[in-house]
Amino acid sequence: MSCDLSVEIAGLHFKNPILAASGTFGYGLEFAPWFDLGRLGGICTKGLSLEPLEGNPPPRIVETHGGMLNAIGLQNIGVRAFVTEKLPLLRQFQTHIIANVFGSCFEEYLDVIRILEDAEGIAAYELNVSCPNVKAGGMEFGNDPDEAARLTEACKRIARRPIIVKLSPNAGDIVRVARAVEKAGADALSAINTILGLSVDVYTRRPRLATGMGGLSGPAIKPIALRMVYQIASAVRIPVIGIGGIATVEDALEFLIAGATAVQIGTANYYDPLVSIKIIEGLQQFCQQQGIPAIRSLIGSLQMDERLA
Amino acid sequence: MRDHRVRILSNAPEPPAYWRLRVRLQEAIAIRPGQFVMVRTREQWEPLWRRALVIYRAEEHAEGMDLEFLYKVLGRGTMLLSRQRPGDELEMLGPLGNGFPHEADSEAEALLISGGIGLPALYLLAEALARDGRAVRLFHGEPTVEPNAPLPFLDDFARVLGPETITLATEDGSRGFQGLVTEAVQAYLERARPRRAIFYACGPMPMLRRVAEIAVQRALPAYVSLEARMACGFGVCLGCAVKTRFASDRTPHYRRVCVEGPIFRAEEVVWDEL
Repeated sequence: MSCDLSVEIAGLHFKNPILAASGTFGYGLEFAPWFDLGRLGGICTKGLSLEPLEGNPPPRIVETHGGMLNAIGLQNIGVRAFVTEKLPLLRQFQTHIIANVFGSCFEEYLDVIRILEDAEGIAAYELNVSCPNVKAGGMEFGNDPDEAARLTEACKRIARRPIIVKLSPNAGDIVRVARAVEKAGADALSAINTILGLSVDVYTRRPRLATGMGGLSGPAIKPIALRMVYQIASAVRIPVIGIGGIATVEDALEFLIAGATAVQIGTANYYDPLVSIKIIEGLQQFCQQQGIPAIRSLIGSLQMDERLA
Repeated sequence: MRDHRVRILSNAPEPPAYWRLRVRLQEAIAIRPGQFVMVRTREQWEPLWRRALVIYRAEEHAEGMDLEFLYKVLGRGTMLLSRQRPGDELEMLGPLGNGFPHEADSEAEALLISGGIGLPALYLLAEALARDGRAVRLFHGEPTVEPNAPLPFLDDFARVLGPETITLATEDGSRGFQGLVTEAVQAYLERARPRRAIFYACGPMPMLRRVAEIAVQRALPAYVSLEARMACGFGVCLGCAVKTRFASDRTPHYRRVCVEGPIFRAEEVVWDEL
């Protein structure tokens, strides 16, 4: 008997809990030659800003043990070009399109969302709060619970679609930020974004990335991400989407058991464009073997001794 | 493009400092000269990324297609690759990238310029140009080569182009022309003064930059194949961006070596920002 892989997040029905993570899946269409995008639970687009962004100078990426650092610099074509050039093709696929949104100040987030509000075929917004707030001395929105909450509230007020806040592990206390944005009206959370890291060339004694530091992703961060998702899911009532180094069926299952309602696949897309499909098929197989009729029943089923938690 | 599962037929070191890998695909695929694949061993977890390998040679036959690659062991990925044995399987995404354009100017002499492990990018091009009856020359540079060592990859080119068209340059003068390959090209241009010429180059960045300078000075068209760190190879990681200025651009833009390249016209590349 086949297992029901569907999950609900913010009133949206996802056919399965496997989503593509923002920044690793282009505008989605790049993967259309590899498989039917309609097989995915959802797609988080490349982060969209009000104006196009050129991105950082190279080198922008470096491979590390079990992962990679990136400093792409949020390169994107801008929200208007996304709406006119990409979205009409993308919305033809039977999957939820989640527009990932960022800005350098409050107003920019709102402007991007306003433009997207007029467009058809978007299921929800994912706020990337791991960006420096230019008007607040470059401090990341997501590092301060109050700033993150204010931003969430402002976006919530103008958006008719659900708001997912993507949390940064670089915040001092990610659980506090999670609680604050939940209180501010966030419909769901996604966690984690990349972890700030550094790699050094010992011969030149310079950073290997042109910008110095960058975001660490890949299997290396999975245990940290899993721990954070567990802590967040235990602290809030809204659904949490787990992200961080997921590369196998087992990885995805671990996140669901730890409390994630769905997961996003990121860096693994780079070395295997078919990885999401393999994981979806693997989930089905696992559940059938284990006699699990609905994958929902796994969510938050972690048997953690309360004295340990 | 597909993720092909291929079987290794042979994988062995070759002088002066390379490895030659031959694999079998179950089906024939269309390949443009200069295109590449992203390779990993089956179920590889470490290192994380696949490695980009340009397709050196391709041979179609009844059972599918054999592809050959020349590579240099430079780090963890190529080290792992060099340990794979005949019969082992690889996962191979491709073919990827734009490939060399089919140049319409049939009067121009094609000057293929390579340094070190840049050479394999030029073989299929040499074959295609020779098939079209074009005048082709190869200039290849190495730091040093043992005086009597066989050089099978130059023999490959000699069979296609004729041995008299090949110039080997070594920096230490151990064999052939003494000096940089770009100096060998300059010497040839001074001596032979071809009426028209086109450069096709692949090699280390300083060599490509020099090729671009010579092309500008002599008002010759030049195509260069660039190399960059790539996490994916198919256009989504945006890690391999290079600054380029196309004729249509008012200002330079980052373009992806993996999709808009790896082949660029030399004058499109903003060399100071590489």
